[in-house]
Amino acid sequence: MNLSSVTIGQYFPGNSYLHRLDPRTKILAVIFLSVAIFLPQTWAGHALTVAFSLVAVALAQVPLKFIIRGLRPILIFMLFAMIFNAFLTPGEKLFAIGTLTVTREGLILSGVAAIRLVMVVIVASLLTLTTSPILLTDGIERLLRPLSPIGVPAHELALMMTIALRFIPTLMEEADRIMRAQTARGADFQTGNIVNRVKGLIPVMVPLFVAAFRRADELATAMEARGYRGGKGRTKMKELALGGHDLVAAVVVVLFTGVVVFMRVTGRG
Amino acid sequence: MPITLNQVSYTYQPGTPYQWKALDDISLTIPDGEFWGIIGPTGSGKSTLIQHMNGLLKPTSGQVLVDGLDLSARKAGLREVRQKVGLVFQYPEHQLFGETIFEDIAFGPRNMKLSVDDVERRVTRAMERVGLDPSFRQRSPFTLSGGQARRVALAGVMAMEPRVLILDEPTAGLDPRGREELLSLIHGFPDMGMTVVLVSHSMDDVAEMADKVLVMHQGKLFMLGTPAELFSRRRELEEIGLGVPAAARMVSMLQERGWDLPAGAVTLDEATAAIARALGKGGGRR
Repeated sequence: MNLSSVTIGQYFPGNSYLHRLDPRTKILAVIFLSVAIFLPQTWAGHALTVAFSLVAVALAQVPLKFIIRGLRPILIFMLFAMIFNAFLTPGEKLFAIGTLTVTREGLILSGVAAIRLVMVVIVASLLTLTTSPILLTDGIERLLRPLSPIGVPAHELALMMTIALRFIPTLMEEADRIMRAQTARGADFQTGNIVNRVKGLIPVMVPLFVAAFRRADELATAMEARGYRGGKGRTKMKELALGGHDLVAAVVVVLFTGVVVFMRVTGRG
Repeated sequence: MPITLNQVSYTYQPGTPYQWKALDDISLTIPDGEFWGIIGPTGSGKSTLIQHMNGLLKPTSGQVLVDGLDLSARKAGLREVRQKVGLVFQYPEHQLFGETIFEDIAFGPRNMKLSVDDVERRVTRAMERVGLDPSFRQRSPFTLSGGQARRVALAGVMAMEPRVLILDEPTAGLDPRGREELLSLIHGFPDMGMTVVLVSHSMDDVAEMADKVLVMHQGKLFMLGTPAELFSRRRELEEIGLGVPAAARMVSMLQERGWDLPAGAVTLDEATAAIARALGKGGGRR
């Protein structure tokens, strides 16, 4: 088993236009674009959102391989969405498998569902591919800060995310190392039925949890030793700053979303 | 069962920005029954190298032969190889999981599908060999001190009764006494008929015991020879940040000042004897 192939949120270092955008701009852009991707009802509308997403991909200058790899985890989900749409949409009957009938409308809907899912995942993965985890949580913290008077713990949430993101690779490495060690003792994680395979994970999970708790304990102590007392009055070494290109990007994304909304409302998109 | 590496290279995450060539064209043969030391600075490829010796990693290019069997071949009997080539990882106590020490040590033998009696016998013998009292059997491994936990982990590999035992930094994090005890334990393994490969970043760990020492540097085989041969090249070793044991350094420095000392004086006793002899002959005075 190779755990290094998991790329959830893997940052791809670079200096493209998207890399240099402020994380807040990118987060908000992803939210706007996700809405825009799900709005269109006509082929013209879909073509427009797909084209816009592809331009964003080009601007990120991330090898296509990495973007496609990010799609793998949603493959099963996508398959389900497509099958359900294909079978359960009423309309003009094309053919039947047993009692299940496939309709023309169903096929079109399942195609649309696939396009939407793929586009949303691509746009979202562009965010994580072009934004380092630290900048990403910084951005989320700043975006949530206005909500802290009503009890949203913006700083704590951001810190938890930072720590979680920081330790995902560490835990992966740890799991990888433990699996190697147990493999060296004759453990087998690849063959056997599902029950045996789950049982086979015990020699990995137990040491992994022990290590995680020990690490959490050490981290807490180390933070206290350096005087950490929560977010109140805490300053940042690098303040986020919006630049001219953020303004341009924001205007373009908002305009684009506006066009999509307009097309939908007027029945053209 | 000799282990042979033919022009082995290994690259981590090839084709990504994180690509990293950990091994570069390594060729060597470890004969039966020898005690080898592998040393090198952090990141020199030691750990990657040893994981090739029992098929946990497969070379990006090149060939690994264990007892004549090519490990890169599809479905080469890797399970069998891993029983014969035991690998003790760094901080092996971090991999303990059993409810009792017995359960943990029995993990390997059980994976070998041995009978209950055989498992029992092997666990008992492994505990004996690493110097663990039988009263420990029913205790939880998580209640042990660092040194004891490491012995349990070592016993877990020993219970598979490998012909070759590879240890990655077995003394890391132990106090001087624990280190001393563990090293003398390992020193006795060749007499039990095992080939031993000891990985360390410190010359002192391997100098007195190893028949051969392999020095790794930046993924390449930097030097290979007996400890005495290596220590006579003190300057080169120091250039890549590796020290030479104090006694050997003393001998080397005296030689550089023109003393007539034999090159083979490596350990403290040998050095003392050699220096005393030289003084007796008046070799120290110019």
